[in-house]
Amino acid sequence: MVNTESHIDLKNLSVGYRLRGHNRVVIPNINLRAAKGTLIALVGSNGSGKSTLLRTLVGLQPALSGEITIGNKPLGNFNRPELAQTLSFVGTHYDMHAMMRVHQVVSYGRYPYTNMVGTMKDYDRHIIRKAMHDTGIFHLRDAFISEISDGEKQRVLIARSLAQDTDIILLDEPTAYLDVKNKFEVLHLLGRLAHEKQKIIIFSSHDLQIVLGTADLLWFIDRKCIIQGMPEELVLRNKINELFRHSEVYFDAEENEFKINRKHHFDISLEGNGIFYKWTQKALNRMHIGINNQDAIGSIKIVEKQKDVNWKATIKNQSKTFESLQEMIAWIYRHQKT
Amino acid sequence: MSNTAKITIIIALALVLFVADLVLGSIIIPLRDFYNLLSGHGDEPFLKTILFNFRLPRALTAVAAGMALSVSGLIMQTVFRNPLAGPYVLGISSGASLGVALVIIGFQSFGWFSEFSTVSNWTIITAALIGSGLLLMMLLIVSTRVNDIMTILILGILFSSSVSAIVSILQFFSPEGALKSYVIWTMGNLGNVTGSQLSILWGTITAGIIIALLNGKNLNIMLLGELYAKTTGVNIFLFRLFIFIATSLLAGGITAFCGPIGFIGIAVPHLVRLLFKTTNHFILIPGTLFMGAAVMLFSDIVAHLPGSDRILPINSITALLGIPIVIWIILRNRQLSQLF
Amino acid sequence: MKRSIITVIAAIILFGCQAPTQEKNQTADYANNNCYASHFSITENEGYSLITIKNPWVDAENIKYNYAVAHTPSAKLPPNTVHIKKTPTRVAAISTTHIAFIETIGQLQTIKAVSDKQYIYSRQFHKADSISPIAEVGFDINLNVEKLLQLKVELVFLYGISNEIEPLRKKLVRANIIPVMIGEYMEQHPLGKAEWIKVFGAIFQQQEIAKQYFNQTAKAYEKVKREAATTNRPTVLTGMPWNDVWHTPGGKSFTAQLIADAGGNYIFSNDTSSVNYQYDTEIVYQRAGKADIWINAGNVHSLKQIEEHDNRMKLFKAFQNGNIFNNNKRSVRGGGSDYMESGAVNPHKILSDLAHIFHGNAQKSELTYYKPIN
Repeated sequence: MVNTESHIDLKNLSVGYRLRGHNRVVIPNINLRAAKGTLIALVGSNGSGKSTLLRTLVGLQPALSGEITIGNKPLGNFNRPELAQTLSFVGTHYDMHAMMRVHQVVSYGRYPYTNMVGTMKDYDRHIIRKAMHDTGIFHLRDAFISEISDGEKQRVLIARSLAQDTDIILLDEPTAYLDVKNKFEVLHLLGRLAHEKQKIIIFSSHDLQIVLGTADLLWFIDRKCIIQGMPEELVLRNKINELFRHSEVYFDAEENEFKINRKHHFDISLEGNGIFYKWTQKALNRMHIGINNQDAIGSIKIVEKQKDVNWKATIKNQSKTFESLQEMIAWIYRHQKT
Repeated sequence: MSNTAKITIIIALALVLFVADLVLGSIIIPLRDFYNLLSGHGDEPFLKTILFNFRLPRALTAVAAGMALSVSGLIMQTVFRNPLAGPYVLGISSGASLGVALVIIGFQSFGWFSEFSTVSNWTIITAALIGSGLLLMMLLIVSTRVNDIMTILILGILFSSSVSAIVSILQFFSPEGALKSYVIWTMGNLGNVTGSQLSILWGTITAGIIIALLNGKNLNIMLLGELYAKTTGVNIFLFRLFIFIATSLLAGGITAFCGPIGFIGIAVPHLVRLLFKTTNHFILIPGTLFMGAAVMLFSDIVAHLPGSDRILPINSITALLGIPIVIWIILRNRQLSQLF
Repeated sequence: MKRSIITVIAAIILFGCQAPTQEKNQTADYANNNCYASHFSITENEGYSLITIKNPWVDAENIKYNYAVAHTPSAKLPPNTVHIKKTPTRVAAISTTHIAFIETIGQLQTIKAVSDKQYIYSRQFHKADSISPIAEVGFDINLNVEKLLQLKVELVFLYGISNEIEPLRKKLVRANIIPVMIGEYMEQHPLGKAEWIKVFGAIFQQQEIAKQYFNQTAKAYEKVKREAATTNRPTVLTGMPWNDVWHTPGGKSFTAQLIADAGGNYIFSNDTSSVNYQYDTEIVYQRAGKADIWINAGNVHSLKQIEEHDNRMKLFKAFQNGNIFNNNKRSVRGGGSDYMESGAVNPHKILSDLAHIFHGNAQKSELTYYKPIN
């Protein structure tokens, strides 16, 4: 099911800080919208204003001008409990008291719904259990925060947010301290939750490569300006590469990966097929050796035999067969000089 | 062991120590006589006076002090997210000390009062309450402008230092007798709260404990950090206001009546946290109340050196009991900061 | 410390020194008459008096200060002593007791500086002060030496409660001001305190007046003591608790001596100490709850104040019967009491007050320092 009706609207929004009556605008004139069931990545380089926008959305700091509406209701018209039942927030996990248990942290998501002493009803317990199941931490429910991994801590905080049962979840750098595997898993989880539970999930990240494959929508901050679009669309419009205009890095849309423009010391010709060709080329490229049939100082031939691979290098009438790529490159560098 | 079982044991321990505090002292009341006195059969007027006029008010004060200091320590540790915070981090005892120093040392030095004759207990209590109350107001004004709770903590520490400096200056101008009165006040005392004072003390700390319990839910969520508390609907300003009022009533009240009594407030909450292995304030607060009462009663028994003619200052005993607990906790959790 | 006091007490007992009524050879050895005081001695020598002050504070051990007072300007004074070559005309009196001594030998006009005037009771002093203001120079180690120099003070009567006073004494010496350490408060016998008048007498060259005054006082004291020595001895309690701790004078203390001489039975007379004992209030209640008379209950003026201070005090029989007497009849707003001031030179009057109190003759008008607390 794909929802098209806009649920959160940012109209002429300016975010920034008020310092002694003086406004310091970080991002002016933002116009964005999103429908339920969308995973949004807020992307931009460090200091571009990601967290300022996030803090403004969550109500931790006031907007300088413009308006945020959720379901056509301005953010300012929500009272404290209403807001807590509409928006939830996930920060970095290093803030948690180590002696708390997992289920306890998740249960704090029910805060806006319980009475003064926090009595849990059956429904609350059900929601908490479900949130732990949905995030795959149910088996850890009695563990202390100090006993679980960083990825699990992030899931615990997401579960807490689910227990808060809000249409919108905002996350500040949820992948920041995670390893690659956990990064993908957490973002995949967020995508699944957004689609299955029809939530708007907005997370900030500076990790473009991972974001491109997972987010439904990018809010792409560049030079005090936010562009909205599906990641694929931004790639096609070459917007991604504008981010790297002053650097040697570029995004290879064809291959869906970031590359570095390296200066080559010399070129060589390469003969081979498929995956062997591609990864040999990568290694040579990193060692500043270009692939080119013209002006080549020599040639490399990839010899595949059953499950193994050899490289046969030829430079200035000298030939040698290698079992190690590293040794071959070292040999090439030695002979290319003489 | 379930939490209910644990809390039952602590309450039982507190009760045993309460009885022990009543019967042990310079004069040891035999349990048979104690039972007779309680059941109204006792006809030993001397022991009756000792029990009801000396021991009972003191034991009730010890319970109040143990409960109030420990609970205010617990909530301060949570609010400041600092394991070494105690009831006095806001500078409450400094405020009280300043008030008392001004009365005992200052007024005497400037001849407004004659020696300790007119500086009655009530004068000291009032001075201490005004001192800690004024400090609280100051902190509240600051906290409307300053968002960061650590800034308030640092201000509290700075204020304590200023008070020490002012007290030193007052000492410079004061005759020996007045100085001695002040020093004796700073040693702490549980035995001098009787009659109507005892009712007022209990009234004050009951109010403080109720405010703390009503904020149990907020205290729990504070453990996730102020950011989470805010985005989950906590009114941070009101919460701070209530916590400051509770701490002032608890720590300020005890300081006013008993003088500054140290280390109970830091050590007991850690002890209870380790025992219950929880951070839920709806369990921690009752646990801390009774554990605090038990530790304070034990300190009082030790201070009275049962069977001897002498008594030791209660402050030295709480320090000697409390400091090893704090050290043990520090060594047990090498990285104490990870607790918060 | 304890040992020295025991020695002194032993000495008093051994020499069986009666009231110094019998006239002895005056010129030879003044110290022969030194029957009660143990912290000083005075010897008369060719052209000078040698005053030796011994251990003038509680923890002092083997501390001696020697002062040689010249009788004539040309007198040859021994080395290793503090030389007082001429009779001082400008002095500072740090303790109020010093003022009483100086006043008694008729040298009040020499006082140019005191610690703090609000603690002083002496009517004569305040009269002199109103004519020509006397300076205030502060307490203990905070004494303002520069001001003393400015006032051209020649000699300072000092006291110390510990050797922390030593740096100040040395500072005064460097400033060319003679510090005289007075340790009268160390004396355990009321007449021992009074006997220190001889030290002041020697310094101001008023030995005769001092000696006569002391002899009369001692005679009067012994007379009251004889009359009060009845078999009907009321039990006596002293002091007030602070923080549950009741500081009581030891059985060999000044106060204990006064109570015994006035015909009272001091509750803690068995304590061997000459200084304070500290008791749990419970113990005091156990031992003294039924005591007949209660003296020196803090510095209160009414029963209500006692109750405010500690309402358990109501449990004491002496409180219930209204038998509480305090030594603050003559006190000043600042908290000073004449008991501590002129009481030092008038032990016979204190004793007479107590004898009246203990034997039921305590009509207000008859008491000098004490008053009933109602």
